[in-house]
Amino acid sequence: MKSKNYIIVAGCSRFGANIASMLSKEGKDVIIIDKDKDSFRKLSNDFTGFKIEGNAADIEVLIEGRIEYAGTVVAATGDDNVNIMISEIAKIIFNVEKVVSRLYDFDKEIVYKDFDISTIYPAKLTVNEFEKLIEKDDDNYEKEKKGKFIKEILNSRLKWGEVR
Amino acid sequence: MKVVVIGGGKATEYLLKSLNEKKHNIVFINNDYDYCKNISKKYNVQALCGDGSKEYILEEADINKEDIVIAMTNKDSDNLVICQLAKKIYEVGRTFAIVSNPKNVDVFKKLGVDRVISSAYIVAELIEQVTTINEIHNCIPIEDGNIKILELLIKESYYINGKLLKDIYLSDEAIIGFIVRGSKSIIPNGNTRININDKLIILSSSNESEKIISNIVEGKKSEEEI
Repeated sequence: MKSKNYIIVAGCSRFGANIASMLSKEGKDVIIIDKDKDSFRKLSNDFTGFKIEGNAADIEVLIEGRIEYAGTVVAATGDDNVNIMISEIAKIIFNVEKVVSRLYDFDKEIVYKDFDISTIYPAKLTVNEFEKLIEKDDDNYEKEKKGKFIKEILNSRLKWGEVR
Repeated sequence: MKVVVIGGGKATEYLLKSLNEKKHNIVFINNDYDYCKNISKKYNVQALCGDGSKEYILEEADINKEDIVIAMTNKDSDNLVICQLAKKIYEVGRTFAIVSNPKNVDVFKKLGVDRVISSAYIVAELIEQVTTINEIHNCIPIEDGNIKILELLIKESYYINGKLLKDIYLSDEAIIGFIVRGSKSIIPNGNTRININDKLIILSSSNESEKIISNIVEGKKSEEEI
């Protein structure tokens, strides 16, 4: 009875809300859970899924969200430990096929050892992005330097030409 | 062997006090600096300030395999992660978690925490037993509530008052483990006579308690019936 198109997003953070909105737009059945109903306004206007107000680490709230039918569960709350708890409940107790968890702290990855849970590390992604930007800047800098150098040579040649 | 206690509040302090009296080597972890200082002074324990669900804090507490980790913060998810980190990184054999949501007892067990205690669950069970069955003085559920320790005070009108233990039938799934008579504790045998004001400590499986009570108060339904 599990459905690939049935997705539970726990935590209506920016990340959670955007993912939920995106999946909803793609025509998936999305349930979003957050303990604060004000955070649901981060969802886009055309979000058509269900919203549940409650603590997503409470197994009863997950059951209310019909987690037994979910093909994917995304743990996107702002608290690593809560995300870990949700992911493990989804994977181990309800045997959800795809579980994605956001983790800020690399050190906690070890608790997912032996479990098939995918992780997103915002900190790691930020660092990667930063490196890319820096490299790009470096490239630009190199190019600029080269540009200047060529110009100088040209200039000096021109001058030399003039003299000649 | 060390006992690492993570948490705060009245229950934690009570535990620290009692562990301290038994001369255990205790490390206390809490993320409030002033509270740590206070506890450290009050109970003379080693206190560590930080988030107990972070690996480097547990590292600092120098946890070993044979230690005991007790997670009793007020957030169930934190307690889960503390116990799992202790288990997976330091291979701690005995991890305990206190949960505020009674439903999490089952959840935590399935996720590999050795012992899970929910005070709400225990208190509710106790209140239910003590209020609904007059005769029970006290009731402690053990083994996830499958087994109970009952405490009963013998009154004059009870059927078993004045009888020898060998003449009494309680249930196939119960045993009188102890008789408290005044300040004396007696380990009963078949020839022990039950007197008025004796306190019986009975170990039984949990769904037998009503039958036991009725056998004690009204007398045994003859064995043929059973």
